[in-house]
Amino acid sequence: MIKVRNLTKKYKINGQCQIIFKNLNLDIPMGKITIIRGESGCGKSTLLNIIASIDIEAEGEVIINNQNILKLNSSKRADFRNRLVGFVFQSHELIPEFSVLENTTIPLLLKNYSKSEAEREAKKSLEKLGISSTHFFKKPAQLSGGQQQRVSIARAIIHKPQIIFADEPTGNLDPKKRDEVIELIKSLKDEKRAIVIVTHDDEVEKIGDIVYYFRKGEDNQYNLICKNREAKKSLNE
Amino acid sequence: MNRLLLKLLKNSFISVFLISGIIFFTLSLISMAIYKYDTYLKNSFAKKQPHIILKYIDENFSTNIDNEIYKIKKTLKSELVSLNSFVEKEKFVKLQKGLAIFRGKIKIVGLGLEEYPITYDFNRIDMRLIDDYNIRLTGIELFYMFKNGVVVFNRTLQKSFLDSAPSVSTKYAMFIDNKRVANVEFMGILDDLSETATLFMSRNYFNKIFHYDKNHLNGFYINIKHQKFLNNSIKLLKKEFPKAEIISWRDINKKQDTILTLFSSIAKFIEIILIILGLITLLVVFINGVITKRKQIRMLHILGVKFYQKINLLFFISVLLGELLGLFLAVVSVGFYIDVTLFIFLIITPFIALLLNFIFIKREFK
Repeated sequence: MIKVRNLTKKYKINGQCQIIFKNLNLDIPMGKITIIRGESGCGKSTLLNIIASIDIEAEGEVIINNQNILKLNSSKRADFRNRLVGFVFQSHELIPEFSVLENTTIPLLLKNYSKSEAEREAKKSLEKLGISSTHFFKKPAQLSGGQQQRVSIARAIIHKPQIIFADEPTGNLDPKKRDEVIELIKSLKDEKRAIVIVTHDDEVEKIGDIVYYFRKGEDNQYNLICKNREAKKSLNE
Repeated sequence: MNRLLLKLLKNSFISVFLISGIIFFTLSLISMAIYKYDTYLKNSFAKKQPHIILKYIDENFSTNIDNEIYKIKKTLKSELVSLNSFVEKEKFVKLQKGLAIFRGKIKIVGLGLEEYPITYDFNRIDMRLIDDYNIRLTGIELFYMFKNGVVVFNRTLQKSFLDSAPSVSTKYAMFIDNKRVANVEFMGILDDLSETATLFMSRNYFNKIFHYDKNHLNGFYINIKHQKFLNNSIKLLKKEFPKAEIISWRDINKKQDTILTLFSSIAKFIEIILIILGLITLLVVFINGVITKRKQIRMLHILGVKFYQKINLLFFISVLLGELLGLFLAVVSVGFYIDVTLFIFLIITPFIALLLNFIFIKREFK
């Protein structure tokens, strides 16, 4: 379970402090797909980045495996991300200088796998996600958007992370490819794994077990509302 | 993982390495060229014969020259290179050979050959035909006649009435105050960049022409070892000879000194401009090769890479090794020389790379 407690995020814009969200609380259970939705600028991606320890400039707590990851130093957070976290981004964020295979092996190489071992695993993972061996040594730019997203998913899951964070994973895809990616994400669901998706996409929302919405309150700040009452109840229990 | 990091930044490292090398090599060559030309100028103007003129205020001063020489030697000790007594007079002189005539009021100096006499080899002097009228000898500070020859240095003579160029060892009839006094061997016209025409001859010859007593003395030309001894030597001489005027090489050669200072300043200015251009080029290469990779570096960091310090170190080494390569090539090409500005450039540029890393890359590793 990922527990977010009293999370507050502020930005300084032109010297003025602007609160994005204040005292957010949410629980993200393992084995479920958690969806976070909300209008543009409400802080969805910011929240995801904080939970994923990419952005730590926030007040409050993000407890993962009994550790407040906001308190970890840069090196420990890098370790944490490498061991426990997989990322899927809207714009894939593949490294253009590396081949498809090299991009996929990065998390394993960071875990001190040998090059041949990492490549063997990467090939398996890529093939499972429908990337044929003819594409392995191509550069990301030589693939279609859907293929790039699949490579990005292969990279996110190759080291068997406990948590997968996906930020608008279908944002740049046409409906057909979007459906493929949704199916892929569904297939990643595992009892021991939490999947957190930030999205605008109604189709993606449908695969969520728990859906959180950002709503603007009277105080002009965003609050997080859990849409599925049943799920909320089970969380509370 | 280092392999991936190297693959990502390999081209950046290579371009930073090569550009650092090229910039430093170019700067070293330019700096060396400036240094060599500066040295050439200094040798031409300043280092040749740095001298002091000790001139007695009383124009009719007469003394035992040996005593005065002893006092100077005792004062300057090992800094002294050579010493020549002199007598001088301003006179109207005419030099004539056939139709070629020079005439005008000039200073005539009679030089003694008492101590460590300077000898000068004419073959070693840079003689150039400047135009139809002149043979110009440059790079000479103190110069005097041999045997009965006479040397005139001054560019005023170049604008003289001579209608044919005086050449080495040409004999002229010399008239002083319209009275023929001798046949002189006119060795050449020297350009010492001073305004007053000066005719040098031996003191004995001078005494003979002007009927001077052998103890008559106007002063000494004192040659010292090096420019850096000049001020101290002047100070010592002023103390020892309170009744004499002490004139330094610099006072007499203000123009040379100005040229030298001006050249040094311009050269330093050019060097600093080039160094700034070098830094800007390096900065552009760095921005192009490194800062454009920020996004990829950030992505690697998100995935768990924490090699910020290694990236830093590799850029530091790339810049430093590039510069050392540039220096090595410059040394092989033109010999070792590194001036202070260039040395500072060599030291600070790797740290500038570190600073740029710190500004542009470290924040990706937050």
